[in-house]
Amino acid sequence: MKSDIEIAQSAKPVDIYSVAGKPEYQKNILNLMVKARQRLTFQL
Amino acid sequence: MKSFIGKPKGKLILVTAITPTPAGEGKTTTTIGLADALSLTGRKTIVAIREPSLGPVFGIKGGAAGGGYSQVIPMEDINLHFTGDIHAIGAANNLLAAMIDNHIYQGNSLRIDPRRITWRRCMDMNDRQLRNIISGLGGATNGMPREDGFDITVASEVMAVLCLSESISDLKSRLSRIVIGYTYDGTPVTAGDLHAEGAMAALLRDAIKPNLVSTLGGTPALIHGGPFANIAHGCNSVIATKLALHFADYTVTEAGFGADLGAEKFFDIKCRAASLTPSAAVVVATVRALKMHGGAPKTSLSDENLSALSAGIPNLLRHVSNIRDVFGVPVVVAINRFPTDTQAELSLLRSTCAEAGVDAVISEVWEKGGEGGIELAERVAELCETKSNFRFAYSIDLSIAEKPNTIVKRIYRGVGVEFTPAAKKQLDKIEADGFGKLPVCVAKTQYSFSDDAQKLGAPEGFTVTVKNLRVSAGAGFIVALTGDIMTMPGLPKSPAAEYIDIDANGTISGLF
Repeated sequence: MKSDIEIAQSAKPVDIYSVAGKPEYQKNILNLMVKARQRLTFQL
Repeated sequence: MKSFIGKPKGKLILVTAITPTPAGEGKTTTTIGLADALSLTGRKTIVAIREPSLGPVFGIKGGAAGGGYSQVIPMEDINLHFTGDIHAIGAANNLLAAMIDNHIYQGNSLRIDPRRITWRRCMDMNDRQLRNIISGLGGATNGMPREDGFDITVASEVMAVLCLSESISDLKSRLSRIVIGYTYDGTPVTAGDLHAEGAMAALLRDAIKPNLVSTLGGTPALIHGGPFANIAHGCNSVIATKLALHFADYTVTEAGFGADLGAEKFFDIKCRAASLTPSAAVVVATVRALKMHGGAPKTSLSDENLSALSAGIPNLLRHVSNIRDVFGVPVVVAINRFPTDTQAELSLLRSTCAEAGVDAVISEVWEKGGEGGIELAERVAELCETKSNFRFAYSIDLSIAEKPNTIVKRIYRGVGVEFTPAAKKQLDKIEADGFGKLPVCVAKTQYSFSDDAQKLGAPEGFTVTVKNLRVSAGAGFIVALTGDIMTMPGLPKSPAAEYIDIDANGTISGLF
């Protein structure tokens, strides 16, 4: 059985903005509010 | 910022739990899994949860990123420093501490009584050595010697302030109201009196912005703020919750500890302060923990024990009744299934809940991710369409003494509150200082409805003793301390830190 960290480390990057909201909101989310973690998870 | 957080339009779902036991309930795991299940069933969903503190990560509890296939990622980043919010909060807290002592050193024009300074320093680590210290030693050029101490950063009022603020101006205003101690004649001294709020807010400029990550299932997750659920309100920031409500149709959030502490404060403090209306609640329970509430020893929780389970279920039903009948929020029970649960135990739990008019759904999100929570998601979505008659457990117009008394009677189901003589004096002072209209944040053990951690299950006939009252004027509540509440935990004999490592490639292991 995989440990929690092994499961997490084997996860593939997710395009967060495909699910975060409508396209017109995306720029605003990024610029105004949210410190998105790009390094491991996102394809901006 | 205001344009986003001012228009909440989605459904707000609170995930809470039975009274915690060392057996674990899986609240964060259920929160994340439920969100993934809602996403899988075509519903636009965002998770809003707290940031992990380094203290538990290196201590005994571990991280706070969920578990199994219901996690937020990158879990090692989230569990280790993340975006530095908690460090920024520590810096703001300690800036205020430094300004207090510097004010005294420079002549003390405000006449702050060094014996009555209530503001403590903080750091994000479990370090019992720093709970009580003497600072300012070393002679006249090294400050005024006084009793001092450290709290863990998540117990700082600055954390609670950040999590209840809705804008930078609100943040500054709340910071300026923080009471740091009293003058020689007993007048409260605030951070504003020291002109500290501007610099503190400047340190928090980035920390006030929520952090966007994702779950393993690809659901957006806002992870922001992490106040303690005993001396503070125990849930993520208002900004993150309102942002999620603006962008998503369903926002799944959680509150710390059991529903008697976490949910009560979520409803009575956070929802009241931020004008939020929850649409539904989920109470997470495990067969293992309920057996422990029913008297089973921790060493035999893997064995089938229907009588212990039956004896422990009243704990669950009391929490459910509180949410449904006191707060008026539609509720469902999520049975977080463990491999050791037997069919007979699961059947007993579901049938007992059904007899009490409560839906109980088995959740397998730890093992299956969102797929393991489809039934729960469908039930929650149904509840969100029913009428929520949300109301608070007490009126804000009650006296400071009556508020915890009402919580004890209506939520904990005890006889009432007793105040020690010292606490009675504080009651009068708090009312006289003009803080009487604030809500009350009860700090008590999370292991029992009562203030005695040994009273498991659904105890009755007890009285809760309030020993001390603290003004958190910046956060906007009065803390009623019912015992020796730990604001600086210590490490266990074998801390998780001994098993965490990093290899030559920078890959971290041992986090859980």
